[in-house]
Amino acid sequence: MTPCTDASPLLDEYLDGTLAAGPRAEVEAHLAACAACRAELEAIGRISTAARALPAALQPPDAVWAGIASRLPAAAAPRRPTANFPWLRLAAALALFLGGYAIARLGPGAPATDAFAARRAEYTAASIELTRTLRQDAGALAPETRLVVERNLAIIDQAIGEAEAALQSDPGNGALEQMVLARYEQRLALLRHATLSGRRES
Amino acid sequence: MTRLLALLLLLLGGTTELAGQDAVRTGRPASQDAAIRLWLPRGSVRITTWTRDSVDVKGRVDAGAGRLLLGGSPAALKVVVEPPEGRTADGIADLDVRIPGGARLWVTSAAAEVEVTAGGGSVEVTTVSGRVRVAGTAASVAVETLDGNVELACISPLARVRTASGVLVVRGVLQELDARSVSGPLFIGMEGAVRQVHLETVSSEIAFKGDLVPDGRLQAETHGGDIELRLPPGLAATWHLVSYGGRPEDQLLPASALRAGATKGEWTARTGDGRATIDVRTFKGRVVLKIRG
Amino acid sequence: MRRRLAPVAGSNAGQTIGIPPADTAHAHAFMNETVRRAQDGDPEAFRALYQAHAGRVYALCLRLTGREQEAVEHTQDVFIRVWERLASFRGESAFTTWLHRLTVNEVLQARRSAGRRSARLTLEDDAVLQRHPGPAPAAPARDLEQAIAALPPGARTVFVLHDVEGYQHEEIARLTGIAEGTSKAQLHRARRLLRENLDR
Repeated sequence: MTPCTDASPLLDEYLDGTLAAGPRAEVEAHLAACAACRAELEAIGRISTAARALPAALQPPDAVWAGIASRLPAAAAPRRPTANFPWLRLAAALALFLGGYAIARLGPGAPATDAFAARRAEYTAASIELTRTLRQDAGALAPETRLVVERNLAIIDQAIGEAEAALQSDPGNGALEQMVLARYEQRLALLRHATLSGRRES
Repeated sequence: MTRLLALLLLLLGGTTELAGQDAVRTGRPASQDAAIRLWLPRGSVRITTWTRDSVDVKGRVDAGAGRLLLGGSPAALKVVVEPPEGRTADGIADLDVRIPGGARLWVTSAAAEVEVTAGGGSVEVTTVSGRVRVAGTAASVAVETLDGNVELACISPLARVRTASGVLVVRGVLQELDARSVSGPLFIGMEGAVRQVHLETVSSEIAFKGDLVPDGRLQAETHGGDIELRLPPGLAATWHLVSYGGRPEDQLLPASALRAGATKGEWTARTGDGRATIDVRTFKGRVVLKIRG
Repeated sequence: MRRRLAPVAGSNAGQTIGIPPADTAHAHAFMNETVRRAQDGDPEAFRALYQAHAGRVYALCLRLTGREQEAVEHTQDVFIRVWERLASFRGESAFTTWLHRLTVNEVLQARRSAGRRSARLTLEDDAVLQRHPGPAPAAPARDLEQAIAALPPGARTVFVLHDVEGYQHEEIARLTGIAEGTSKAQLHRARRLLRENLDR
């Protein structure tokens, strides 16, 4: 006769229908004679069924899209009807490396807005990478420090959102473009600063 | 990180160690332009200078705070408060440190209060959340913190300050100042004339009072805060103001000097020979120009 | 506060992105077209993908982590990766399957990186499992969602993947890197803990 302690872990597989014939027969024999195990089987059956019946989707908070939009403005903003300047991406990468706004002086007659979009994309990519590093290193930061970083990141993201929105209503506005890029740069600086602080605290 | 530091100290040949006792007093020879690194996770430290060729450390290091290590050569010294192993530090570490006047100083901390009165050498302070104050005369000043308030009241050719949410207060005589925060305000009041100033915050305000040298540059930028500049009347500069929060409030420039710029939200002006450059931008805030009293 | 989406692809998609409520076939065709346009970098198509799938992704992240803030972050990270990796999606499986796998990987990957620094019970620790049946929750859960959130991480992961999402132990073992035997033990533990918590 199978004792309950042996039968109990098998009840799960019995419920899920994955027991081989031999063990299944043993469990059934035990169940026939044991009210406690029958009750247990019924209980876990109810839980399993209820789990399967949980709604497949849940409404995410608005903050979710807001966070995506601020990190992927290229994905969130409508397309500019501009020509494709592939060489601009390389130039933008160089400009970032050299730390200057040299992009504006490169190339004949390239619209400033393409340079801006390229620059913004570079900042976004760097920001995504640093955010990942920071999240992975999250254990190194003291909780209060983490809070300070998150709070300040949220402030910058809010500012980015507002500046980008204004730029959408007034595309090509050079002063706005500079403001947007300055906010991205501040975001990067904070992420770098936080990463270094984490290393210091650990 | 401190384990490695402590090990290095021991290897550098000769370390003074003071195990947790209340009162500590120790010193080592140091040249006038020594490189001095101080590491203190929390507590407080005051650093001043003197004319002797040595570093002197006195104060209190509780056993719970860790132990004080002082080592290195006269050209390169390290002062370390090493936290106790395997448990969180508690207890007080409070130090008074005297260093030679021309020494180059680096202070690294997580949450200590740091006060430096420089005497000619360079100063670099890096913390996460401690309050920092730098006074005296320094060859250069660099302060970086996440959450700490920073006060500079010093004379130096160059000062660079970074914080995320701390309050920045800068006084004194500086030739170049670069001060940035994310959510903390900047209050700048300079004596003398600055050559280059860059002030930046995202959600808070900037208040600047000072003067520029004839070809000086002043840049101030916020997203959500107001920017107030108090400058001498008659300052000759090319002005570029950007504010989407409303027309600048101008009590400084000659009448009708300020004109609407190329796009909505921009204003420009040119006073005198226009040599200095003043570039102010705020997204939601107001720009206020006043006469420096 | 969790609000529930209306089920079925057609009706909800219609409200948010302007196509008329339609049958499933139409919805599938529309989805494939949307994926293709998003692959080309069309931001409106990407937004449509988000509207259509975010609820699913968020639910999975929320149940796996038990914490709203983490679920918000993971959901964001998932869609960022979708944008980055969409070009490499060749349609060898349904987009929903691809997205689902991406989501599970994202949550488990993040936990692995964070877990390196913590001394918490890991998924692999079968022997420890036997000795320590787990802490009892402080107050009885009001509903199943809360009870799931209160489970210890290893048990919660397996329970959500198996009983909520319908993965088999072999797949769970592959996704999480634990042994199949550990997966079964964690499921057993989860169901008993839930029973205890809900029956109080």
